[in-house]
Amino acid sequence: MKIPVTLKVNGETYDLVIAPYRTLLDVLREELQLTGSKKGCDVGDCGACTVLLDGKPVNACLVLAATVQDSDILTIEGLAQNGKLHPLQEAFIKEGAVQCGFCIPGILMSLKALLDENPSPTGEEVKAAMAGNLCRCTGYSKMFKAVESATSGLGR
Amino acid sequence: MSDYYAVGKSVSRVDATAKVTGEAVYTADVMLPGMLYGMAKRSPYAHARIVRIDSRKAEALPGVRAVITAENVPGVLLGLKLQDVPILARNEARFAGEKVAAVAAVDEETAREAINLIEVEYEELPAITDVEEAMKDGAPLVHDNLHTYAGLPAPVKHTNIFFHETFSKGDTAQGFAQADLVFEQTFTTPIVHQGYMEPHAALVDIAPDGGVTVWSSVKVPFRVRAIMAEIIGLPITRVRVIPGFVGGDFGGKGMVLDEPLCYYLARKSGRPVKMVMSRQEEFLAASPRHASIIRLKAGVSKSAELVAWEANAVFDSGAYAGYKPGVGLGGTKKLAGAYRVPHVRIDGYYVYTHTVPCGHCRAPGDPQASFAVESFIDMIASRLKLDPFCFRWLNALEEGDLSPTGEPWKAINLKETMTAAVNASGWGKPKPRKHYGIGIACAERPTGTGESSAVVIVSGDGSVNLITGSSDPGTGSRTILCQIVAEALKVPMDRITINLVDTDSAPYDQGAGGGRTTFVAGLSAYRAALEVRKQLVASAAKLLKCPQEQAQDLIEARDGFLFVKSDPNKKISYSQAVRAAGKSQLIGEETFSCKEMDDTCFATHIAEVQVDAERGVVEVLRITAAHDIGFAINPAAAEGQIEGGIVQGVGFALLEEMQRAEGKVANPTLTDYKLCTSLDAPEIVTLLVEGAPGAGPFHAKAIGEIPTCPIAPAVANAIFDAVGVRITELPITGEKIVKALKESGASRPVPVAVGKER
Repeated sequence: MKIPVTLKVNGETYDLVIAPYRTLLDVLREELQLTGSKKGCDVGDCGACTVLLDGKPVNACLVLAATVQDSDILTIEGLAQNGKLHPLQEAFIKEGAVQCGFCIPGILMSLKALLDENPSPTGEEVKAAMAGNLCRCTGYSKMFKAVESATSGLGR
Repeated sequence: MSDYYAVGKSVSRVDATAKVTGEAVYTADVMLPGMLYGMAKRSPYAHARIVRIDSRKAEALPGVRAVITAENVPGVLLGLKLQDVPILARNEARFAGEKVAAVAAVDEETAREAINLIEVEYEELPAITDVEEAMKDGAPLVHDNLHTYAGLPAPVKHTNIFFHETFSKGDTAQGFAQADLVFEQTFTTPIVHQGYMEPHAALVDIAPDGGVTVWSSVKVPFRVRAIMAEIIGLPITRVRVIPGFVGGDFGGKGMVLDEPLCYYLARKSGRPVKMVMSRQEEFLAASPRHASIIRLKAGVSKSAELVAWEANAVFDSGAYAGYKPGVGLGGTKKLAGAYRVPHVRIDGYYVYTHTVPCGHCRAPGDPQASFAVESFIDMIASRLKLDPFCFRWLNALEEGDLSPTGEPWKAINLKETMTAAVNASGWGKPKPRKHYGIGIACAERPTGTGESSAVVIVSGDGSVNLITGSSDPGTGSRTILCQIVAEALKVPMDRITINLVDTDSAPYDQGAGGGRTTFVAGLSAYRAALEVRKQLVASAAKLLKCPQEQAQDLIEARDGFLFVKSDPNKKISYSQAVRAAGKSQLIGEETFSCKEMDDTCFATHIAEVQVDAERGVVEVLRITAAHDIGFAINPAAAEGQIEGGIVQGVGFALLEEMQRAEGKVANPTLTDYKLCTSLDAPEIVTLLVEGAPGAGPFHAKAIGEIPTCPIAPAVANAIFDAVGVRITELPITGEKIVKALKESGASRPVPVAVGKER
């Protein structure tokens, strides 16, 4: 059985007919071809699929698509606005915080949620905001630096 | 700062924008029209005979397009050296998680349902899951026909020990006879996972003419091409492998996993088939780091010099050995450290058990060896009442020394890294508080060898293409290769394009791994660029009226222009030079291959920790890491390798263990198998010690693997310094610390678990 579902993703509305058990992650990736959100575990452990639901970070693999029809969904594909990268994206590039890149979409979305609420977080607040996003390549160091660089840039 | 044009600078990565916007395409992101979803049925038993497989119900399920078992695939055994891995288990399953059947269906849900409908009747057999039991005479055999396998280094029969390697120098009997003190200790390390964030993914499409296209998450596309062609029976040029961005590797993406299954499912269904491993499958049946049992024995003179050293290592290989390019592990050779010892004997044993097959993981065997050796060195120092740094310094290798296994190394920079790390850390300073500890450990690991090719094209508009089949699993190597080409041609980085290309579009490359890319792929790119530069200069010489025989010496390049040194105002652009050659583009190419290596790299790490002695919780405060790198082509990328390696090493030290219950991995999730999170990451001080003449371009050495090696012992040594307990079994959990503290009692503040003195 499939049901009609309407999703609002990155400002666009999509009318879909999908099975009710499908996760937001699978629908984003397979129905909308928004493959920036990654499937690293599919059970909410790794954070690579983090997207924002009305500004709050969630693991898209733990959310059923049919249950978030009233929400504004923001994915990594919607982070840059009008062709201009978000300061976090700029800072991640500049500070060398990107290695294999698989965790990066999720980490950027978690950090965007943090900065939207708290534009000048402490180091501890940054660490806590990223604690649900695993990265195996970077040791997180350059990511911390990138957030610092982005927030000082935002303040200007 | 250097006078270099493009190298030695922390330029941004060429693929960073694609990665921060979600545009970078990884293999699992590729979708083809009509594509089916493949999935594997796995054995729940560590060892079982497969009596019967009934797939009729699965085949009858609507949406299922193909079901295959061992009957439908060739009976070949796969392996990078020792060939022992079947495509699907045939008659016998040798570990819990081994693939026994596979399906392809229209969607993932249907595939999962079909897997559950396949009925497999097993006869459970006795499983040998303890490596020491497996070594005994008369132990049940994991492979009855081992002696018939291709790639076996030496003939062996009726044993689970498929390889025994030795390294020796001098005469250890004589050495131990000369020693004033003899120490012995055993160390163990568990199976740990590479922990790349991107699970393995494969997609196969078969053209009507039989040509095969493979999308794969590996870092070795040409190796996958060769393996697939051999299985299928096609010339290698009829198989095209298209690499995606690789979402982390750490040694785990060097072999086919589901690619052959995708092919046979695609053949049976007539549709392209994709398989993506779940995280649980990654834990149950990929190819993690070997567990080890390492026994060390050292003889020391009264003047604290190491005089004799014996090491005996047992590596639990699991059910198969085919996932690694050598039959042994490079780490075995590191079992005497980087110290001056006249008499050395090392024995490495590689043993089958009925558990997850192990493969290559970042510096294969080295972190195990390093944990044992560098913990042991500290224990001896403690027994001799010597400062651990001083004891190391006294015995550390210097220029002109032979390696512990008798090789002549050049540019031995160990002491330089020791000095740098000590000076930048809290070493030798008063302890700031109770239960604070500081520990040191050193490591050595050679630059890797292999074969790479590169093509550098300068087009009529002066823009540059670098075409290479070399893979960048996240290290930044593609950026570094562009920097090398930019340096050779003296053109800005943004003039150079490097694309991810398939095996039809790039010349052969052995693939990333073993610390070879900067050296081997780097030199091939550099020489290809110099070759095209020669052509540009020869062409420009005509326009500059410079005699051809002197042109290569007199003409210089800068910012995409060529000029005679004595007259820099008269410039010819690369575009003009290409056109003056009467061609649309000029092409330089190079294949570089190196099989022998006397260039090695050194590192010293210092760990500072705070231990909660009541709960055993260890907080790693700071790691100071000094690395002998020769020359850092991209310092930020080098730091990134070190920082990532350190945090991976902290996990190895404190958190990570694939627990086993009757051979089966008992914690196959990222909830139960802990990787370091942002909250576990220590402060890291990275010191790039340059100046040694490395083998790579601009004297670069390797940096990808060694950062993971000295961390666990540095942390273990710091814990000993903090609370006086010595943990010899990784990971160093809170439980182990608390137990050791209780056992040691308050009356013996510094117990040292070293062996007998003579």
